[in-house]
Amino acid sequence: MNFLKRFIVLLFFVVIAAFSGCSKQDDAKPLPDVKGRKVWIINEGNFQFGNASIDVYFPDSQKIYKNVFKHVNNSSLGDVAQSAVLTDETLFVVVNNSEKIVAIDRKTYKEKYSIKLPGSSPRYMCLVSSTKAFVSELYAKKIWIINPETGELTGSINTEGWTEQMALFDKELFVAQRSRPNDIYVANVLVINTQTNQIIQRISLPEEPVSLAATSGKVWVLCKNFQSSVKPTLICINASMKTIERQYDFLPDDSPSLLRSIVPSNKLFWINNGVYSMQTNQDSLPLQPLIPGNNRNIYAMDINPENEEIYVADAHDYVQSSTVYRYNKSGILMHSFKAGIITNSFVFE
Amino acid sequence: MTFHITDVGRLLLLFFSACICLSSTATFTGDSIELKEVIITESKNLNTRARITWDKLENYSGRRLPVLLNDVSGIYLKNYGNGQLTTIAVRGTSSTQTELMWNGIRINSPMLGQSDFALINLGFYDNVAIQYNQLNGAIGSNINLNNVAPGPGAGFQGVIRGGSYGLFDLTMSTFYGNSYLRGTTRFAVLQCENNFPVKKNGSLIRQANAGVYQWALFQQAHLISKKNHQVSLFFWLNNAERQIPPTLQQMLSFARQHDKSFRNLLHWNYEKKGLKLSSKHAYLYEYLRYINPLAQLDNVSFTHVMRNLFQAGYSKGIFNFDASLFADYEYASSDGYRRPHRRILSGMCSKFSFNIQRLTLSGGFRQELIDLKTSPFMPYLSANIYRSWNGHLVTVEATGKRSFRFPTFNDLYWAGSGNPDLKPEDSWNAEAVFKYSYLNIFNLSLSNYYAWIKNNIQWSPEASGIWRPQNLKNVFVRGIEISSKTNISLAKQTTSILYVSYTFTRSTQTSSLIANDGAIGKQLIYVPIHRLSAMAAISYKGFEVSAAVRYVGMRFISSDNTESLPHYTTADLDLSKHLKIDRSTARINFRVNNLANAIYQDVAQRPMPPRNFEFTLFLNI
Repeated sequence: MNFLKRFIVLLFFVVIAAFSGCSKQDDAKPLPDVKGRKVWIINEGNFQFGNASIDVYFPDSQKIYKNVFKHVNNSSLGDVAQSAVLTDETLFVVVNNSEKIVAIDRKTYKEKYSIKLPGSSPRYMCLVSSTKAFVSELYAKKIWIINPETGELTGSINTEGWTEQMALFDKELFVAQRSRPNDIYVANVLVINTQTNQIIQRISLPEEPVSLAATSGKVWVLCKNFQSSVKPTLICINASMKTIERQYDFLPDDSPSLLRSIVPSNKLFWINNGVYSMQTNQDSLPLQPLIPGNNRNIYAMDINPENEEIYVADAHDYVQSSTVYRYNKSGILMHSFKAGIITNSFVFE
Repeated sequence: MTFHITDVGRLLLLFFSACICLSSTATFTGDSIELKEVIITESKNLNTRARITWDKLENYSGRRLPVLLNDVSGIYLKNYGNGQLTTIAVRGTSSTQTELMWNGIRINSPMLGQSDFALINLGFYDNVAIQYNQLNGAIGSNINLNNVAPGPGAGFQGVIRGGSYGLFDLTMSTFYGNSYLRGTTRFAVLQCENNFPVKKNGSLIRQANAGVYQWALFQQAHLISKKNHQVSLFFWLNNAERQIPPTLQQMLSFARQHDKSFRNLLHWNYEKKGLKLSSKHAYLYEYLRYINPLAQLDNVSFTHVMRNLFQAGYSKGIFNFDASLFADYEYASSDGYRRPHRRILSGMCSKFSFNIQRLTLSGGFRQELIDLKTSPFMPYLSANIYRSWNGHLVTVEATGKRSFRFPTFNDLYWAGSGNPDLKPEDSWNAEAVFKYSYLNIFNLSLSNYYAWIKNNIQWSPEASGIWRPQNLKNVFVRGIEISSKTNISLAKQTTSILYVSYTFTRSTQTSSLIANDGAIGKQLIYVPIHRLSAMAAISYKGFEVSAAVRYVGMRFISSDNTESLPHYTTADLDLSKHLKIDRSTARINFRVNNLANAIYQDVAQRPMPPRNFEFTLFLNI
């Protein structure tokens, strides 16, 4: 039985090794107290993993602070951080699969409150005033109306489909609307009077909208048919006339997304296996990208309106840290760094 | 979902009445009793040494397969919640790379490629076996659910279990027959509300929409001829309705899932002298409906599968020869496909082995066809040597083989996403096994295994943003498995048993098609590096106490290993009293699961139950 005793001793050591060999990864760092311009990085996280996060990047010092929300609040942000908007004091993060909007103090990173929308699937938020905001929705056939100051749900507007990005012109809100999964075909832009909360017009689109942006007096919409190889299009809507003014056709194999704009310089940007850019008065689409795709899986792009620096994020295989690339307005790489999982947008202070 | 239990009420009443009548004449059994033991055996066949079989599953009757695997093996199970989808990850491979077999017939879903182990009631099988590195198509392993013909006579076994969070579980089995004709009929029903408390946003609330309701019926019949023939017929009906609870970061869920399956098997077997012939013909039907009102989803999928397997074996002296042919038809229809799809799989394998004194050498090959496409040639080689002296037995075995896995229907044909150009996964496996045993007192097994997997299929987005399966990466798996079983008699009338099983697994990505992929060289997600389980039981004069401890190491949930689920340890305590009632036996059992009230998750955001209790009555007549 000596062998047996030795074996038991061996097992004991195996157990000890097994229990002591693991430790939880901790990416907590000191809180960012850096002064200067700040870029909020919204990391969507994986659907149902509950690992949405927020990183903060300081372009001047090129410092990145990861997962600041969890670090400060000692709780998870939620499941799928879809989008975010910034006010003077607060960052509002729309957390899609947690059915809520989290209000975060800009300076302390502390959660101020959460606006809960049970049974919803919120997508984007558009602030109309300090006391009124509209929230688009994937499933519930509604646009939610909230009071961001008090965190209350104040009303809703019935819709036909899945509402996405929004653009505000005076008292009129332009909302991209597309088909909900497994539901009737819808492809239009809703125009909502923000005072009466009524839909005043539906502007039909040639195909379903995938992205929307605004320049002076214009609403731009990228349209795509997901079921066939019909050419994707870029649509220009005159905001005052509420009619389609121009249409640009992409090639059938193109897959444009992430339409962005710089209002003062009337520039448009989008992703099509690379970053493309054009002036809004151009007659045709550019043939060459400003920044080549280089086989990256670009999932996020935003332009800093102050200096037109371009931030893009490569989501890789969607289950690892994204890589963020920061370019100057000429498309020259300035800095790259790692961010959270599935970076989907950048918000500039 | 509303659960109805009234349809089994009458049966229950009868069952309880029988128990009460019998218990009034109950007497304590004397001396030692048989431990709550799952007998682990190694096949006596030298050609299948890498097979571990768990017999005597009566004590696990009504429990699901994951409970057994958690108690006595080092296998990691990916469990989405109590009673929810449970898949298996053996030796660092994926759930689609493990084959679930029922009496030798593969029952993995042809649409998903995997099996849901939460639907497998251990009360329906006579033994469960796991095989590694055999001459089959599995890259990971084979889990075998086996039924054998009962002996002549008649008997009844009933198990009724109640517990925390609305658990009610009833499994009944009766066998009957004479020398020629024998049968077994089994029925089971399970209901559980799973409304255990979970911590959400800092407050403790009851989990909602987590109920599970399942019933199943099983029939087997055997015609045994004096002329060495045996014809067996199996029929297995399974129905499960499951609510799918919200994750920890979700407020509400109204999602639910309905699974139905209907499996039939006709088996003819002939044995004479060294010759063995066998023919198996199975029809398998599976239905899945997933409903999510919030997401406007109501998807129905179903499959029809016919499998035919012909096997022949011949042994003479030191030689042994086995060959098999198979021909399968698979049909799948889903709301996710543009049209139904079908395919024919066929193939053959052959193995030859011979013994030279204590050495056994085996070689073989496997060749498969899917429609008209051929798989590569899959060779198999194995060498086994043993030495025994004074009750000691030492065995050393080395095995190498090539395996192949065709893409599933979903991989190929999911509307807008399926990739018909996918290549099959291709793997080379190698393993060295050392085994030592001393009489029936101590068994030790130590295995060192490797697998090189090419063209691993993974779903990921293309430039268009549409998710598609691609042959994205190559994977290198290696690890060590240690398992032991010790029987010790500490005192008179006392028996005790100890199982320990430990697995060390490294499963890393070696290449990728993705630019700047941070996953290269990193551990695959949901593959714990360390996994340990231990179970000890002691019995004295009809009383039995057993405890099981399970340690699961940290599991990464991001492919670059920056995010993880923490390691956890759970312990279960089991107390039993055995009774003898005339010629019948009964056992009263009380079990505490998760004794230390550990908070843990097998899948991110899917909480597992805290400490909970079960009371079980076993009856054998």
